[in-house]
Amino acid sequence: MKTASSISRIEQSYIDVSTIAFNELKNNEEAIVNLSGEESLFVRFNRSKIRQNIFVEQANVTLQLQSSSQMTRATWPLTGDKEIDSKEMKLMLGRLRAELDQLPADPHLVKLENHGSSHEDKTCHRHDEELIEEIIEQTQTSDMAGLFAGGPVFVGNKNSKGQNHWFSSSNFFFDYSLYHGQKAVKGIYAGQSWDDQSFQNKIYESQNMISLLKKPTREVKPGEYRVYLAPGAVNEMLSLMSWGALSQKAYKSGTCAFQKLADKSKKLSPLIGLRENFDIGWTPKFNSLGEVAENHTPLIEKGDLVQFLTSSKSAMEYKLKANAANETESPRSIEMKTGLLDRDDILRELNTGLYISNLHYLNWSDLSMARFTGMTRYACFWVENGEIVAPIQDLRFDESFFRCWGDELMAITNFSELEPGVSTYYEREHGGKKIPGLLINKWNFTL
Amino acid sequence: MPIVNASTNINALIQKHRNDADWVGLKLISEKTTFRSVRNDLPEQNHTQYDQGLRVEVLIDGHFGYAGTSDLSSYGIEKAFQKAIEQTRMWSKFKIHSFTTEQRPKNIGKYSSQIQKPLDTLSTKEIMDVLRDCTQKMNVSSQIVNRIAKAMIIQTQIHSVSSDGGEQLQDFSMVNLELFATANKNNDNQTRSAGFQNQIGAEVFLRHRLFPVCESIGKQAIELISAENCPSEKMKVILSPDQMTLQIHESIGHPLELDRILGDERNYAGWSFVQMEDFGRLQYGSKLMNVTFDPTRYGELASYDFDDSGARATKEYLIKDGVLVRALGSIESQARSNIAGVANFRSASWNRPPIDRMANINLEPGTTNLKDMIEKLDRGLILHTNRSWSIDDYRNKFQFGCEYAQLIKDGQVKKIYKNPNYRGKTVEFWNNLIAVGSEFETYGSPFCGKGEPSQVIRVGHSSPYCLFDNVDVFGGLS
Repeated sequence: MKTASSISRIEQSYIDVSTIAFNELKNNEEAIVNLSGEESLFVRFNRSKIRQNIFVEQANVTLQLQSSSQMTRATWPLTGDKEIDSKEMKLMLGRLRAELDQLPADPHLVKLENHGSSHEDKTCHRHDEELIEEIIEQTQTSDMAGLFAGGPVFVGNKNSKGQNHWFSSSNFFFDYSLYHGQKAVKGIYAGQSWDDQSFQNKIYESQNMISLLKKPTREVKPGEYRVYLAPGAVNEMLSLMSWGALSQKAYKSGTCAFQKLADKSKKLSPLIGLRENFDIGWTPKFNSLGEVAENHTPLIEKGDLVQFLTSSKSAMEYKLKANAANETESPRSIEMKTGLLDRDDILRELNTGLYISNLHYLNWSDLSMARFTGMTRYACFWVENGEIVAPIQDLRFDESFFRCWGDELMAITNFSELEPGVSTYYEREHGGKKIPGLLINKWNFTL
Repeated sequence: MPIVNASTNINALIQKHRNDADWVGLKLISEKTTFRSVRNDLPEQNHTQYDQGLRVEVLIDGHFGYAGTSDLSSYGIEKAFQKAIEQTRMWSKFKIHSFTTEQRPKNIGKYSSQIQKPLDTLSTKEIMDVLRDCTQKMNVSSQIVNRIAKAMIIQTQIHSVSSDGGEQLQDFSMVNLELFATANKNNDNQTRSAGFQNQIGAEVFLRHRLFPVCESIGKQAIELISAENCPSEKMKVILSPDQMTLQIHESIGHPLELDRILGDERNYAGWSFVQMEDFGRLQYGSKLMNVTFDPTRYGELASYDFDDSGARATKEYLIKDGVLVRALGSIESQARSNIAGVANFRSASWNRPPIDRMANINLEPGTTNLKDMIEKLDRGLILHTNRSWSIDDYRNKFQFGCEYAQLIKDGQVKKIYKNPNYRGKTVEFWNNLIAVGSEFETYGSPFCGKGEPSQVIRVGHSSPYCLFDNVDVFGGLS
């Protein structure tokens, strides 16, 4: 576990190298210095034993140097050693300055501004190493595969106009599957503070669900069925939104799945509402330019597209207003609006159809029709007359958002679940989503 | 000249720490990745990432554990040793398998990508000018609304040493160059793309090689916006090598990864329909199907001499005459399963532990040339270039989409279709392989995702055009 003093060591070095960069700027040069780092414990489990453990300490600083019409960037490791880091910053500044001269002018370059300062420190002391034995103890009677990841993560942003943001947090997640033969129940226990009783309850709940998987499997033929998509399944659908569906640039460049929604040639159900909600609190409100998002940014309201996520770069190019989106114009803290369907009424309203806990490997199959394909995964069941009858053999589907979030959407649950970001590519993800369940009248299974 | 500036003497470090555990390995990875892109003739991205870190690996009581740090000060390095040793000792009692030093073969050697012209010999301006010119060449019509040319230029040095005297130094030079042209008509958008993924030098940026490709994808994007949707029917299909890349990757590479079969990946990427008893028995595909693991083929993206365990890489048949004969299993997975494997214990970088990965997975050429393949076809499609991919967590039921379809009737190309997709089940699909082309093309990806914690790895795939029978094809709704 990183101590407060070792985060301070990196933070101090980041402040020092930023000062060096800003002091050495010439004439019309401007600069941003971004920091991203973590100190993480990763423990990978299989069959309720440890497959691999790795402790990772990394911090990277990114210098963005720009003139009135050109911009370039470099990223490199920050060690926390003042002498090494200062020398490296001077070297990189020189390299970027030499590169800047060779670049063509960018008419859509965003001029830097001071977007203010903020400081959010959500770090805390937790002894993650001691949790590993508890995980093994609670899951040893099951066939468990999973990952524990925990420790501090931190992000900083400063620019030569005086802007200064900092965000740090000490979260953890245990992302697991409990298997019975080839069927499994998926679970995530996550947060900032570990509570033994809550964890044990979570595992107990998953173990109980396994009993439903022990029933003989039902092979459901491809076709259209009524489905209930639990929040874990809807999470996968919302992840697909990151692939250009809500991006201004994707819309303008012909690669947006919701183009027909924006052009009003297709509609969604008035039940559908999507917004960025930074009150969830798991990701910083500032982006890599230091622009601070509103707490709530509505994207779809009552089925209508209100606005795309629009970065300042897109705003410059298309002469629009930016909304503090990140460069990729993907959601960072998305929330789907809840509806009226009570938890106790889900199976009764589903009546006969499929209860789907998770989806897998979604991808667009016909972008302009917002059509996507994917698989069912984990605990999915055939339901008859409001009763769970049998687990199903996994099915492939091919559906359109204009249908399943359109006329075929029957109801949305009156509760939502917080789905923490558990991606660990390159570094641990910040953020999470707030997601309800959906009842859909017809869902097209193909294989 | 070092890629990254900090200097760390890992030979001295291994001497200092060689007795800290039953076996100690160090890996110093330095990587420079430059992203350059141009969109619609204007600069879009110029970003260079310098990454450097040290991974400490220790064997204690039969358990391998790791620590990785980008803090190469003496404070950071000593902390990494301390964490690796403490945590591995603490958790060895929960280990899934008792390993020995046999899983870390002592090898000494060097590898270097074979290139004609070092990547550093081209200036920023020269590269940006080529990319700009590429986007200009795509501008074949006013209906082209978006043109992108981008390059990911990678130089990597991996220096590995171990407490028993093993030492490998591997040096890679790689480029992923991608071109995209999007056309619009009546609110319909269609994109054609092309890519080059190789271990290669600055010779990849040759205008006379790139410009015909740029013009071609521009023209084909224009063809697509006036094309009909692909019909829905079962028919014969020829897959182009750039689509075969995806077909091989998803429905051969991943299901044969032995760590998946052993269950390591069940909580993330998934398990596999392949069972231990299938090796040597399962008729995976038709007798025309010969698939190799081949990191020795120079120029492909995942060529190397040694994997992360230190094992020397050799070419091996995974599927021979359609029969599954060998797994994509590293030396650790081989010890756990007693199944024959390959040298594929690979990590994304110093901050991730190695796992079983693909490297270059190739479909070996057959005897049919493309011209004959087309001329003998009464009715069928040629599908080009992947644009959508999805397969289940057991790697069985797949659905893939392509950018561009050509209808063949009576041995001739008759028309173009847009939005072609096809779906199937892995073993059934490969058993319908009825002709394999005689000439291969090479592609790959720098972004194959897997593992917990997750990591991306570079993979290469070579394949000829291949003809399949009875493929379930369908189109779009737009």
